[in-house]
Amino acid sequence: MSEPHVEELIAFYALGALTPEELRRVEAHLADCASCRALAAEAAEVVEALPFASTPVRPSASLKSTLFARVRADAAQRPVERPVAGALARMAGMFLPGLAVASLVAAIVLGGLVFALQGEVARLNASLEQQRQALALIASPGSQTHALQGTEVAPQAVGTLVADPQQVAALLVVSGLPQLAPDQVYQLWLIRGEQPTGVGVFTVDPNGIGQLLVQAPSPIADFEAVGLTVEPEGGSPLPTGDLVLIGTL
Amino acid sequence: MSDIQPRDEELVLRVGGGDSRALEMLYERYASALLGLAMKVLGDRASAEEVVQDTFWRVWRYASAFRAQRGSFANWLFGIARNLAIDELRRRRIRPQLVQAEGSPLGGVEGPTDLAEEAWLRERRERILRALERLPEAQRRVLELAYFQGLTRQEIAESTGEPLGTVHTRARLGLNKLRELLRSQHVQETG
Ligand SMILES: [Zn+2]
Repeated sequence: MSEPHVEELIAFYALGALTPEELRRVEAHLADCASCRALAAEAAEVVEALPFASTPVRPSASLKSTLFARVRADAAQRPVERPVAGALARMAGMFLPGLAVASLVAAIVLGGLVFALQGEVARLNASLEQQRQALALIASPGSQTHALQGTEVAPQAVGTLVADPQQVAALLVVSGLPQLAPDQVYQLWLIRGEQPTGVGVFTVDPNGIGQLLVQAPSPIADFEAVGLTVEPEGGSPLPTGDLVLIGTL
Repeated sequence: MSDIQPRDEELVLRVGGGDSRALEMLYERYASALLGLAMKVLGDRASAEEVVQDTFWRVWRYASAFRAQRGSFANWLFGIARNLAIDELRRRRIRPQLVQAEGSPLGGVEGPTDLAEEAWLRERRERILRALERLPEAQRRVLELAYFQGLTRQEIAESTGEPLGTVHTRARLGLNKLRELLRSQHVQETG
């Protein structure tokens, strides 16, 4: 059977009923095709009305009590324990200047990849695909959350990385971050061993809230830690600015 | 509907800051509608309640991921519940014996709750139901199988015995027609 044209798949894309393989095909196409993106957005708007078609059903009392017992237990545990001091110091050290020449060369090669990925993320930014991927991550049974803690530079800052360890996609959500100068951005790094890999840049809104959908170069399980630094506009091949958030994976 | 109720977006912001009382207000507002959706997809109360619990748990954990940049909180919330319910349905298709183990499928879906339903939620339901009623039966069936059963286009073609091309056309025409119907209702109501 011949492959259907992508346009044929857009209704099913919006309806959330593609096979994973079809989904990848459609998303790759949407990244490059504005007219199909417009079709998909139009279809998605209609689909958003569908869940409201069901008849409400009153939940049992035990549903609410179980849920809120769990929620209150979780609330009591917050804030999440800080990463152990040693690990924090070791990772923070990585962000200080004085890297070996060999790793600098490796980082510049990686930097090219990073810029390509950033282009990808920028195209997807605020788009339907980003919304869908963020939703898929949040609703995925394999997803885990990792808490990021503010450093001395930004003690109010907190962040959450939502990721399925077996996947390359991850969602970062931050709050309490300081406003930046217009020519600065926040850049996220995934760290393996001593090697930070930049995976995207973003800025925060006036409330200090921001989010970034990440496409890592390999599954998230390959990385041990995550850090956020202040960098010049466009990002850097290696961390150069203040480390503001850090967490272990 | 009372004007003094905090808006969804304000409540989500508070949930993101760890306010469980704000989550409770969202629960009161949406739990019945979400359970209705999950039961429409899954057909049995036990797993539908699990989906609702999981949905609110995810709202609790990921509230800060909600950004009002596109679409409303309600769309986000229903999107999470629909994805979770369809995931569960697909797991069952792979391992059908689980359905029997869970047991207690409900014969029919219960009638509307007598909880005070938010007026806009009821209006939104009535609007989509009216539009769906006017949709040609075959188109409506394709949309429902895809959205509420998570069937792929190939699975729909198999289950309806129609060629794949027909299924594509029905889905596309169905969505277009539904958009027209929703728009014309909106014009009638506001114009
Ligand atoms: Zn196209």
